[in-house]
Amino acid sequence: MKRLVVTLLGLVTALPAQAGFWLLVEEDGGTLHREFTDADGTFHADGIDPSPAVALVHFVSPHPSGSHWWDFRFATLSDALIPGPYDDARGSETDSPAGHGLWVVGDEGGCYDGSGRFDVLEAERAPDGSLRRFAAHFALACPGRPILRGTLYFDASGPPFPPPADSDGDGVFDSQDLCVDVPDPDQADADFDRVGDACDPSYDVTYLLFDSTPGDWVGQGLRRTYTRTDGGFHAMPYGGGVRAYFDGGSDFWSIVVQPPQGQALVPGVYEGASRFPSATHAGLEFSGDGRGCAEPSGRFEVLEIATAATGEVERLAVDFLQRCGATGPAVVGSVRWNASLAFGDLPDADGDGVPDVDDVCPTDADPAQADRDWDGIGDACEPAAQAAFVLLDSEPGDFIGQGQRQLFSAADATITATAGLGVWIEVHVSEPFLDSLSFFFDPPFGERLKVGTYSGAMRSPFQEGDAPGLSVFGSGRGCNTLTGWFEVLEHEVDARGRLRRFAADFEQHCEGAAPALRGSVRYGSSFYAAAGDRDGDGVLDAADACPDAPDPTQADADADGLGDACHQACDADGNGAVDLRDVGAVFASLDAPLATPVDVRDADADGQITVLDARVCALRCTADGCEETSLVEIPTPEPAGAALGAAALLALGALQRRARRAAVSSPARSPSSRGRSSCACCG
Amino acid sequence: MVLAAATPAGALGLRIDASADAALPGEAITATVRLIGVESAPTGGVGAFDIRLDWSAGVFAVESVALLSALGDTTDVLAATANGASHARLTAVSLLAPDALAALQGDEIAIASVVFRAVAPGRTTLGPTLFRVGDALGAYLAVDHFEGAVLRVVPEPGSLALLGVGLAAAALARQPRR
Repeated sequence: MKRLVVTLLGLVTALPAQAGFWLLVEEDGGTLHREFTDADGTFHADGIDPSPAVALVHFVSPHPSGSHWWDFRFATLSDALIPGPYDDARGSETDSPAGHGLWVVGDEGGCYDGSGRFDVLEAERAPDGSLRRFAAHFALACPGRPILRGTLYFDASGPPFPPPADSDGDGVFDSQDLCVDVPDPDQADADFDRVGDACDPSYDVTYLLFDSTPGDWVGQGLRRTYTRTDGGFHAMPYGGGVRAYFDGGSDFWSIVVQPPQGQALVPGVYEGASRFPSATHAGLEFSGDGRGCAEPSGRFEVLEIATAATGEVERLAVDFLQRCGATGPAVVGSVRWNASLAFGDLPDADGDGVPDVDDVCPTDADPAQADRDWDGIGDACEPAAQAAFVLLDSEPGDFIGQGQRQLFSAADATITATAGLGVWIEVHVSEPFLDSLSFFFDPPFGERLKVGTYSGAMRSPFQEGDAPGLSVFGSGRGCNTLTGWFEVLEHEVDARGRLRRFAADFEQHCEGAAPALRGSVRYGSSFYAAAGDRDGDGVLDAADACPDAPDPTQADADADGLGDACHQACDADGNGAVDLRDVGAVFASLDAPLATPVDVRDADADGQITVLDARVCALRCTADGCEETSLVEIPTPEPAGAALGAAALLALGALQRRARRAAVSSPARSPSSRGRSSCACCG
Repeated sequence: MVLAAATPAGALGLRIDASADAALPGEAITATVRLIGVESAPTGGVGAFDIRLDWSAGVFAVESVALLSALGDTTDVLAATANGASHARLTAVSLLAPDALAALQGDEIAIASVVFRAVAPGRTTLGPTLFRVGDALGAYLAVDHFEGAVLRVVPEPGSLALLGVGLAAAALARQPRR
């Protein structure tokens, strides 16, 4: 009997170590107050996983029915839970703007879907990944309940807890220090980039740039960039906000940004700004060169602002958009005054991913940067644009074009036209050197030029018989004789005989030689596409990375020679169609990093490959019934990771089942079969 | 036992229903994972989900995970599961058109069934940790609330009796002797 008692005593005492276990939970208002130690129950912890780092701690009283129990989950999307504060926590860290997760659930309260914060006092893991020591304070707001606060010690070594590392000895622990190696107890971070000023001293970015659409009174359609080499910059407090101006002698530009009355100008976006701030609206006024708006409207974003104790402006970074009136043309711009280098991104007012300085239409989102008339003003800003350009594509050996491809538009040349019996187009270029080109298109003698094809052309004005006349010359070079043809696509004159619209494509052979000079002429035309450029993006088909989709930038993120415009979203195998194979490939790639910045698997372009992309792709299936006959040859995709290995296999299983069904029902599938009639992929 | 939280009307939520609150070692408990408030989705349905469940290893072991036909039958869905000792990931994408999904789904859909085998006395919460749910068009749907479950493994009666005897013996042993 004595041996049995000793054995049972051994069982009872084989509990976790007594020291360092403590749990306190209480609700504001005193409705709940519970305190437990390991004398009251058992504490158990699960391992910490990296990314997210999770600490799961459970407490339960020893009574078999579980008279009291509490569960805790502290998580962060960072690699490790380290001592320090974790704000903005949510039930799931993926819902938290800070990436912090917090659960507290017990038999008397708590919830999974609250919001709150916690402070990790100590977190130590064993070599096997299990939680060895943990201590934290927490505060959690659950829907409809008072705030739940408490403290949890799991085999904690304190208090006092060993202080975390503080390499620079400035009193701020490394895990929280914005500059770990340089003492900076005030943690100044003027540019809010989470790199402390002590480690980030480069505040010397100063410039003013703006870009304006035609018709904007202040900007006059101009694009300008000024730096310190162009003149002086100044910034000063002004009416509760800041006024910054550039004085270049002949050029003078000023911007005033003010917060709503009664507020301080702090980093953030200020929408609905007008000239004079009110209690609800911010103030904005951009003016220069003697021009300003009576009633400007717009928005601005303060990216950085720092003022000295004296009120002097030390650093400023502002992006803005202003219109003279509620609607109409706009000017967008940026001003930097001793700003941090951290703001490397150029302003992009329309958010289309193209910085304003490069954007052909900075006020309206136009990621494709379409500019059919190549005048430097995007179609989004110029919806009624008319094409005005000349394109020359010269074969090697051609005397006039010298084997070069040249494009001149209103952006870089002056194009004039004269109409008589025929049409005479002149192009004058001043940069990089003075040059001119002439184009003559003449009908046969006795006729008037009209839309149609003119073959057997001879050099204008020396054509003979019923031959039409053609002559393209310039840069001091011309043909003595020539052969060729041209096609008039559009020809319209007004009542006074002035040419309003003209479009023609041509081919000319100097002295009857084989090398050709081909080209297109557009003047106020509704025809944009030039000969040999079927998508009209200004890049001839032979050189176009995507000849059937306008892509003037020729972007090719994956450098495979096929332009991004030709990479169809969801077409993972690049066969030109979206089918079940592609949906499966997206599904098998969940959590995989993007292969290139533009990854066809990221159908919703959010930078991640998720089930949402797979669903979007299922809806985009272009193949008939989303079932491809070669599905049985599905290659084994590489799973995103070991955890998803099963996912890939099961996904393939579904694909193959579907393929078998397709094979059984093909070729005479029943149109009323459920899968076919209801499939999202049906084309 | 379901950890009931306030369920906002007209909002998408996730709930776990367990076949029992407690089990003896070796017994099984089936947990059914449901999305509720589905009809609140703007496009009238759920087209995809990717959900992770967590529980405490050592108390329960997962025996099987089955995805149910909430998004269509097996030929209309790409589905996958990936299990660990203390978590399971449930992933599925429907290939059905939005109108077919809407016809298939009600306001509450059961998306998965997980069978746990009780391992050792203890208790665990079973709840979702990471999840992503998409509507019929593949747009992100916020899950406003979720209700996990608490599962317990209770000792065998014989073990309880033995423990009781031990405690009594310990108490007797501590009594002072004359």
